[in-house]
Amino acid sequence: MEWIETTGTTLDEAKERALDRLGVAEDEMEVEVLVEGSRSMFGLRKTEARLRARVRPTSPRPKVERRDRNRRNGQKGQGRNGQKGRGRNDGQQSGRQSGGQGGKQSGSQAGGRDGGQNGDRKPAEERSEGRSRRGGRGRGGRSSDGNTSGNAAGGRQADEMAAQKAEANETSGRGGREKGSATEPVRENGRGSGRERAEVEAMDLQTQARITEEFVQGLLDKMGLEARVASTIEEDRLTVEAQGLNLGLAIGQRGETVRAITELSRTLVQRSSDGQADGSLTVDIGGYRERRRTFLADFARTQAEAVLEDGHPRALEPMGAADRKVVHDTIAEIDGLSTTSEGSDADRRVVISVSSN
Amino acid sequence: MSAEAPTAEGVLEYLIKSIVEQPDEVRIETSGDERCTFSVTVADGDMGRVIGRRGRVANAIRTIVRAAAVRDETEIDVDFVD
Repeated sequence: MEWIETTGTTLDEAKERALDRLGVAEDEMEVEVLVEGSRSMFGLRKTEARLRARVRPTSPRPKVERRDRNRRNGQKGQGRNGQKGRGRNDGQQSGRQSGGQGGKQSGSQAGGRDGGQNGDRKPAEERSEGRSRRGGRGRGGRSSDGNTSGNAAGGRQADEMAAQKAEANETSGRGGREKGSATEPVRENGRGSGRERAEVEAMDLQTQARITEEFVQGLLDKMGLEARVASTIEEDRLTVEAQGLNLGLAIGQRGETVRAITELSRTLVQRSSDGQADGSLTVDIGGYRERRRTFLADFARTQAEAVLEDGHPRALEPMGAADRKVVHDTIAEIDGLSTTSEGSDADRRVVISVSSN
Repeated sequence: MSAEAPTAEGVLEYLIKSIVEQPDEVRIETSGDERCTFSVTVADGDMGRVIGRRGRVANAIRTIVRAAAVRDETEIDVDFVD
């Protein structure tokens, strides 16, 4: 993904601009501050804040949280992925279950054993470690070969992440991970460094699609709406779309429910993938987004004509980042006009004006 | 006669249980006369997940549950009880 650079009187402003231009939600954006920006005593601007940003290839979350959750996961068993039946698992049962799966999945001979048959009376905590080890192996033993210098915690974390990843992939039903079955156990041998965490394979879009489809379908069922949910994947963009009659309830005023469903879907995917979900995810209900895009582009062009005619800038109604992006992109194709975003948060709107040069 | 909003409650339960780590610990209490208030309790470690950064997850949940409440022909509130 390309980096873009934005400026603003404050970092927040620069960040808002970056969000606009990329058209993504805040947690999908990766930011590097280039210049913090400073103000003189009387609040006069001295230097502008400057940053560069891009759409996150993956969206890592704080590592501490990750580890905690893995541990907890180990205790109560796996089940980040399937909504159904998760509640029924008590720690032991699911621990064993994940042990067996891990073994099968990593294709390693020892895999199923220590979590499953052998380790049947191990405390949950240990079982989760067993799981981690297998996960690391299943991943192709990269961590064992690679880094021997990292600290124990780092290695453990990387392993656990790998384990989760393995789990995620496994539930998706696509084998794919067998390549590993490396011979030496990661825990005894290699301690992955912190850096290595970033190399852990990200959750692929097919898996994300499956998780999201299941979530959205389940939600619409609960809402008493009849819909068919399907996904399309284009390059690194995943769109999960629900089609059906009378889906207005799930669209909401100005698409607020669509956005809320998208938000929760992203949250769910990020959590299922331990923050390592690739690409971008959009949920659409009843073709709302497509209609909105068409409408906005038309509307922006009408406004653009008016601006070109009399030279006065036009401020559009406040919109979300995705909508603003549509306007920016539409106007960018018209010679002699430029766009900026003004206001903050819910009040943020695009202003179309005649280019200054 | 207390208010009821079965669709909204079902949706709320579904959303919360999808998001938490410990779905078994999810409790939803209903109160209110004309307007239904759902009080949601989750396991200690799960509250942050349900609220999300700057309350984004909580707000998304409220938005969807309010939409669902249209089916029940009522209005609802969702409280997350710490």
